[in-house]
Amino acid sequence: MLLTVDANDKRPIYQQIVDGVKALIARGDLREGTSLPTVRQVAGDLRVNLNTIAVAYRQLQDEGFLSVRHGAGTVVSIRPGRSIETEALRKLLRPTLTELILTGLSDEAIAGIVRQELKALRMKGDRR
Amino acid sequence: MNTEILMYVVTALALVGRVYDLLWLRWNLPNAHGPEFFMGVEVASEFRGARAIQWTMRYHALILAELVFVAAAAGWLVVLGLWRWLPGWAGGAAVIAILNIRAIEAWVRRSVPAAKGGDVGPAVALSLEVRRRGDYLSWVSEALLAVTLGASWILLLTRGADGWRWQSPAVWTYLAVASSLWKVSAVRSGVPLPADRAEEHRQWLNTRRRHSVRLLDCFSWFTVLLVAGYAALHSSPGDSAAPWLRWIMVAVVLAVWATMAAVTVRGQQRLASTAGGLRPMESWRGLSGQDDHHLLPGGVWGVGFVAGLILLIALNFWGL
Repeated sequence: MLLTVDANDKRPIYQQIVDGVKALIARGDLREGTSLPTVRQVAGDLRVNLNTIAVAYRQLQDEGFLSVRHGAGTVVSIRPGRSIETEALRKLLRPTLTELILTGLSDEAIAGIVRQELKALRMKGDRR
Repeated sequence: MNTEILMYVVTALALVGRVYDLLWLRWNLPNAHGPEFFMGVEVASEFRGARAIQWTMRYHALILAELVFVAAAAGWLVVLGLWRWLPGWAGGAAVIAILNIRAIEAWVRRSVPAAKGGDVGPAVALSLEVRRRGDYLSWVSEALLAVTLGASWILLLTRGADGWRWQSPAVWTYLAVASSLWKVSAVRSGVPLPADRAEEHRQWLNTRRRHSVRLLDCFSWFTVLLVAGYAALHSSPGDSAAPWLRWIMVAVVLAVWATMAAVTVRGQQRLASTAGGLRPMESWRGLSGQDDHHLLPGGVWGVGFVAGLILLIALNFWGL
């Protein structure tokens, strides 16, 4: 299980880790109950501040993707039917869709890209 | 066979180890990763060719100078019959080798024109694999090491013969404890992985980690058995241990050394086969774009370790 962190990415490092872990969960590479390395290990491996990783883990914990189990450390915890409001989901989509529209793509092309990404995610998920 | 036989055996083994190290591991080190790299550092295109050959010759001259110095010191001890100082020589030669190679690395990084890495750091890969110490270390083995070491010192302190000297067991104990701490550090430490062929780089790093732990494990046993052997040989009244006991000790130390040699050779082969076409670790760049991040961890500890070792060897040397 590897995720990529890019120094040229506009997102801060903690956000890249949050998004990377979520993507691994969505693809089925990280299953429920899988242990994640400690904050110290991740910070040491990336050579970044402990707080950067702690913030990422805390956000994932707050969003219900991670939980701390006694003796097992931090584990992946996928809550079925996560209660996110439809409006909140739309809010997540808006910036990305805006970027796509600004590139001049047609609605059909944007929908095609979204379908392709969904298909790729589902295909990886089915391998579980 | 006199009571210092273990020292001579250790010295002879150290000499064989140094020759192997020189001929197989260090001689071709600068160009081991092809013309794009020099001692693992990714070099600019103008460096390749004549300049690379010139630098390789300088490197070989420094390595040979070190060898001549160490061999001259050994010859001096032999001619003057200062056999008691041979273990100190073996330790001193190892320290000189480490300092020499580190100094050369620092010189290369400072002086060789490196390939441009860009102003902003690159993409790196992060492994989410959990590294538990228990997956790499055997706690039973660690406990046995500690018990053997403790029992040996108790034997020396309570039933030591008149002629025993604390300096040599102290150096070996220091090395045993340091190698145990080093093992834990080897498991815990990691570096940002190159984003291209990240999984292969991760596997190579893991192979290297396991190889380091295995080698340090052998070294721990080697040093602890030296302390145990010394304690067994020097704990009988009048320093008159049975000859068979000495032979057993020599055989055990030789067996552990042979295992260590086999682990080294096999580990090097495994690393070479896993490394096919991968970037040398010295050139892996972190998020800051620098490729010298692997030099930083343990730097202070490394300096402290070498300083402590030099102090103990000096005490051993002058018989304080």
